[in-house]
Amino acid sequence: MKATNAKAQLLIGISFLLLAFSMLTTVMTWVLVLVVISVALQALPFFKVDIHHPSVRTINLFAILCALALAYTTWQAGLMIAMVNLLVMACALKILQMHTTRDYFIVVCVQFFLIGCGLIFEQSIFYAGFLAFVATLQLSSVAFHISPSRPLQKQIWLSIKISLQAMPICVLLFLVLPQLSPLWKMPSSQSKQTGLTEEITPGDIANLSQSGDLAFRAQFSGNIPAPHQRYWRGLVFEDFDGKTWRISEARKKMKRINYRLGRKTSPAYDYSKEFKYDVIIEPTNQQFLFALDAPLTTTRRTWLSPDFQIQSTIPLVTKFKYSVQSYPNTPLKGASDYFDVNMNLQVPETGNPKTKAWVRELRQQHRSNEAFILAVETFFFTEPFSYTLRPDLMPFDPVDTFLFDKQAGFCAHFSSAYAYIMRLAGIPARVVGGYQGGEMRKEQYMSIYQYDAHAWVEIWQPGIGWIRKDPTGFVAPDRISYGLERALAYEESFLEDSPFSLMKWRNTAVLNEIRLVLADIDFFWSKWVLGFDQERQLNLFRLLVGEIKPIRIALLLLAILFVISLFLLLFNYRVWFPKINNYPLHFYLKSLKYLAKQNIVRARQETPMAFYTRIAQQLSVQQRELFLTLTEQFNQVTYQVQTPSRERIKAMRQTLKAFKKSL
Amino acid sequence: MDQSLDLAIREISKVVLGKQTQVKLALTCLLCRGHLLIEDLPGMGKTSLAHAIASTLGLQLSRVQFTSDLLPADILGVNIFDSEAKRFVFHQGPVFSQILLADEINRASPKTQSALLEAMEEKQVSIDGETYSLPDPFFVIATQNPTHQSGTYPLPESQLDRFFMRIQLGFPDWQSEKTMLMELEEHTLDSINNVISSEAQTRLHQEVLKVSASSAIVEYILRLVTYTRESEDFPNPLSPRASKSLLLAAKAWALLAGRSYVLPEDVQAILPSVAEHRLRSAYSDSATSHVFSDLLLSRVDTLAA
Repeated sequence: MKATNAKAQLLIGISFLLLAFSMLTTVMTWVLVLVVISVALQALPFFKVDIHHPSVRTINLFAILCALALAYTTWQAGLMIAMVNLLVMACALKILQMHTTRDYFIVVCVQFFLIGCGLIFEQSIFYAGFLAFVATLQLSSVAFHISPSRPLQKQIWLSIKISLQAMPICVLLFLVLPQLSPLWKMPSSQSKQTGLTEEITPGDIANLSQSGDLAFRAQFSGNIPAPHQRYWRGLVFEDFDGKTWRISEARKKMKRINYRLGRKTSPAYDYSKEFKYDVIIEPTNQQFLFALDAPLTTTRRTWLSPDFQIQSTIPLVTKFKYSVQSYPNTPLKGASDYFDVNMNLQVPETGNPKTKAWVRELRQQHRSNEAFILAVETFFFTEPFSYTLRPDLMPFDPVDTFLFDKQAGFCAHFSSAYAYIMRLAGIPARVVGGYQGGEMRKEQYMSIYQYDAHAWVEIWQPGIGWIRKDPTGFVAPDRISYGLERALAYEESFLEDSPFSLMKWRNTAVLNEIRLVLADIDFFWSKWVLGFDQERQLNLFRLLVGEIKPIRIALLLLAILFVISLFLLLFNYRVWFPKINNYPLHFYLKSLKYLAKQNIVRARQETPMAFYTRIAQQLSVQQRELFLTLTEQFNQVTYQVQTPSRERIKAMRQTLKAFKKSL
Repeated sequence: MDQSLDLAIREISKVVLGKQTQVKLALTCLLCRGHLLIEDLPGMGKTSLAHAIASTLGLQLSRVQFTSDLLPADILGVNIFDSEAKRFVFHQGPVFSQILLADEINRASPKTQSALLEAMEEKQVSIDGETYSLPDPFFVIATQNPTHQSGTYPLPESQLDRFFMRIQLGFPDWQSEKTMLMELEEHTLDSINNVISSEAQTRLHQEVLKVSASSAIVEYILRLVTYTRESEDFPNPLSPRASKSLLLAAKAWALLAGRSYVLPEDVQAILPSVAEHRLRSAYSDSATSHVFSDLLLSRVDTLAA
């Protein structure tokens, strides 16, 4: 490639660098190092540093070694990630040997493909915007490849213009292209899971509470629940080993069987009160969905499990939207209680002796369940418990240590201790994980963040079902009514590990406004772009053509194709109808075209009069005279007078007409 | 007014036979107040042409034969101590004349060449801190042997650019040379009359400036110079001074043709003389052809397209 294209190469290198680093979680570190080195090497000529480039043989050998290394380092990470890494690596090596135009275009194409790969892992509007920026850089690089001497701003402007012209077509294709289900699925087991996990050890949720990331958003139509009603139920932990609460294996097995048999859980819904909302959940790589009690959903690929938990049938690797109706007055009670009751009385045989003794004693005083529960709650109220994000470590007999020694903890400590006490007393109890709270924006949608993660307890009341108890609320009522930040105001530990999170500056009005506007944009994007699924597409079709029939769909697609062609036609109409600035020249060139049909062609350097002199003999007398007149008129209008008058142009047009006739 | 110009052409042609175009070009150059470089083999009538022009215009001419040992003082003049007046007196050199014929300019050393070329540009001479202005009009007509001949110091590009035009005479045709040989006596420099007075010259120069050049013409010239700047086939692109010269020369050529406006033909006619010596490199060995100009003209469309 010529040195003049150093700019194109530099730009493609920069865009590649940006692209590779934007996929930081996917691309291996050593591949990134390779990317940096190759981009730096190919950028050197631009800075007038000459180095000896490695030969093709060296690069090929290196490529084989890299491929082996890649196979070794990514074989557990799953095929998808290995393939993306391979692509990035190959592109990095190809950049080192961009010798021909073909090499250059291979790199460009691979990078456009990489942009698509980037969208597999992240779909937020900001990332999409970033990728659009990278794509613009790439287009500018191609523009430099084609015309190297134009200034950078013009190239970028050209790329933006082209992209904008493509926009309407892009929107149309987005709306009508079939929304096929993915042909393959992301191997999810190796991906990092986010949000709540399948087990709770007191102290865990405290880590989650340090994150200001979005968990999900809900858009309500109709009633909006009050803060103390915002219990977003997620996971049910029924297995306790003295330290950690887990999802019980038996429960998992039962769920699997139920799912396979297609058994649906339908509690006796009490329709007296209703919340209706759509949830857009961020990818978690898990299957739990969150909803208020007691949920009912009709969204595809979801089902209601026997522990009243909505689940997705596949792990959530992208944002997912589902609609829910919740009936808060519905008792959480299934058809058969036997299983639930037995499972939730299990306690480990060893450990926490103090608690055991204390419960035994208290149970002797209070025979009835109600009285016992009241006594326990009184204990929480009266003892100097405090709510903190910085609990001390409690490695041995954690419940004992918490209840009688430290007396300071986070929601998981309270829930864990409470449920354990209940089980010891023979009352079935389980820990429920989910989110509590949510930030309402303009009466439109509610954002629930990771720091809203919460754990509470459900206890079994014969005849009634599962009843929610939140021991955290006894100690820190602010947590329930006003959220985590307010509850922790005294110790200033809210998001203390992420000092740059916008969340932290909620009290600064301007910054908070910025944060909320960003949230609005993200919500809009999630709802209208990412949430545009097959169902919505069919609705759109229905709106356009009524009842869906193949012939109608075909006609619709034809109409869309027509509209796209029309767009293209409009963009390029100047090609067919060029703007005429200079009529005399236009007329003269037309006469030349007529002559060219007779194989009489003007040479580039011939002046009009010289041309006439040369060809005069080839024309008939009438033609000769007319063409001489035309030439003279052209010379006069073009060279003699500054601005041609309308009459002269008219006269020229007439001469041209007569000349055309004479031919 | 074109009568006097026609007359002048006829007068000069008495001495330089069969060289109508070259004579017209030389006149064009002087009408534009530009310096002229005549390049050709020895004995082709370069000096005769210069003499004839001087006589026709009635201008005072002095001639310097450039040699390799010629010093700047030999051209510009020198301060000599007058023992009677007991002071230095400036003795003007040959440069103090209306037409300076610098014969075989490329045989002098670069130092002397540049002394002359400075005078050409500034139209004044500075010696020992004293500045003397040159007469008006001041033309230099320099003649030059092809650079491949021995004993020549080629003019650098920067100095070639000072010459408004460079023309070549070329061999006369059969008939002209025959006439010349048959009527050897009649064609002497003495037979030439002064046909254009100095006032007429000033007026003609004004008229050249008044010739109208439409935007189509200006754009044609711009296309030409821009092409030399963008194409890789031209080692020395044309400067804005060159484009100015092109326009002015085209106007003068149009006036010589009796028109008050410029046609593309005018530009094409003067382009080789005005542009060739600026386009080629000083060492290129194309003394008698217009390689670059012809290439340029064939590449650029006369009409905007």
